[in-house]
Amino acid sequence: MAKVVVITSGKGGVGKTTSCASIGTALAMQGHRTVLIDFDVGLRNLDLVMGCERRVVYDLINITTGEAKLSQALIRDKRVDNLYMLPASQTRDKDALTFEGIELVINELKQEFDFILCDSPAGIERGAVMAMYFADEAIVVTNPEVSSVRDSDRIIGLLDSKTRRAEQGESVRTCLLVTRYDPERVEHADMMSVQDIEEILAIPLSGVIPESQAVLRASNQGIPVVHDSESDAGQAYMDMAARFLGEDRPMRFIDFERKGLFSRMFGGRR
Amino acid sequence: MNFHLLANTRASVVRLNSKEQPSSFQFKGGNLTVTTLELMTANCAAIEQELQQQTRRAPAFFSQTPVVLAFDRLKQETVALELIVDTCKRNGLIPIAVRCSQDAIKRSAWALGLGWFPLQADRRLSEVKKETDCEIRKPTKIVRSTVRSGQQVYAEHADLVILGSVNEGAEVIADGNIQIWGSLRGRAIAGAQGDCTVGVLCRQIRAELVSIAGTFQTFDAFAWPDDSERPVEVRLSNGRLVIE
Repeated sequence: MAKVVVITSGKGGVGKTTSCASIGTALAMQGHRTVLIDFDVGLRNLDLVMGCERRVVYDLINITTGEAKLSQALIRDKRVDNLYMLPASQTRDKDALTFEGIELVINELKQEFDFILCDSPAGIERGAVMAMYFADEAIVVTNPEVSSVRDSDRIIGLLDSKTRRAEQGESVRTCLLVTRYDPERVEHADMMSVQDIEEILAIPLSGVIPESQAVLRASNQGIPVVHDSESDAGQAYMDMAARFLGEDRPMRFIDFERKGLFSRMFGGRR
Repeated sequence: MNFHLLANTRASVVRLNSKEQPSSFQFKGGNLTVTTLELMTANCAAIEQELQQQTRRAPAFFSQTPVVLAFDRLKQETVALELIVDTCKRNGLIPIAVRCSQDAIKRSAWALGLGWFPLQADRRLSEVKKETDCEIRKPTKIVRSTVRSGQQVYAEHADLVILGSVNEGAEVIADGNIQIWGSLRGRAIAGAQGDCTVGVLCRQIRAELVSIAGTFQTFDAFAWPDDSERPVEVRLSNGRLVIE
């Protein structure tokens, strides 16, 4: 049974697209047929992070309006088998999307794939609601920062009320992903701790991605950071994907390890 | 002989003579059904005319029937009580007492040898009125999840119980009490219809705003102390919010 998963946050720039690319890649690496849909119509970022921006011919809007077939628009990932993506349109705006059109596309994708990951645009307007409407599960991406947590709280409220599952009296299974986490700054009380965020949002924690130079580097290269198995962020995304599939893995990278003199002298940041 | 009469000796017997000598009478309390003649006017001619019509319709009723003359509905301070009593007697009614609030009528009644009752209807009326003033309380509204930013919950004519927390940017409103099993970080408005006896209870308080019956306090610049981790009750005392 195919699962529709929305990756959402409310606030922009917290790492939805990065997380979507890495989690999708990790799921495909585990052998699950996975498709990523970019709902950020008008901005189009997911194809950049996936490194397939030069292969975009047709997009999501073209399919919903019948201008192209699904098979024509799906872009196959070069690095991982079982991984496809459906880009957003750069030239159209969010009003071009309709619930009926999205439903048709998602139903068709459900025949072919195990996981359909929807990369939501920021905000709480139509675009974000459309991305979450057909979701069975949701990954709420949050930075350890007050405004991000507040916006995530708002989004969880919408997941409980504005989705088809909610309208049918069921619930969308929701889990929390904290990104850009810096244990050192948490230690110095500059940043909210994972415990604080968990207490406010009151949903299960599925992963903590540490602040890492590797993430920006990977995004600019168009290679999801999960491919960088040397990096802490890449490992954290692998853990997160495993937990998402039901595996029980301890949280890593959440405690501040005081650097010894040796590593302070020789160990730069990776 | 000493008379010790107990107040409200309803259906009770007061023995006056405790000695072996048999008593000559007993006082007994009890409820009797007495017809009340509620007068809308003090005009004797009008009263007589109507009484005669009634007598023709139900002659059996008007054969030496004791009645209480009630002047509750009359605004005027004095009436020609003697004339009214005579009118009644001519039509087969025996006035035994009056019921009124007017002092002049009370004194005329005593002069005529009639009893006097205070207004009972007044008290009953005000009681009934109080009941209808009371808002209808509905069953407590229970929210089984956390109330999140941007959400609003209102318990109309009821208490409100939140099993989760009330997050920042969320608002919970009740006409009755509010009870939050988690943390209150948003706004809580209890006694929304003005009931100042209600309170807000929560396990931990970090509220943005608390209001009880319109008296509110914002806590925006408030650095909550460490002991705000404990359960608290917010209530209204002498017009001020008290957090305990």
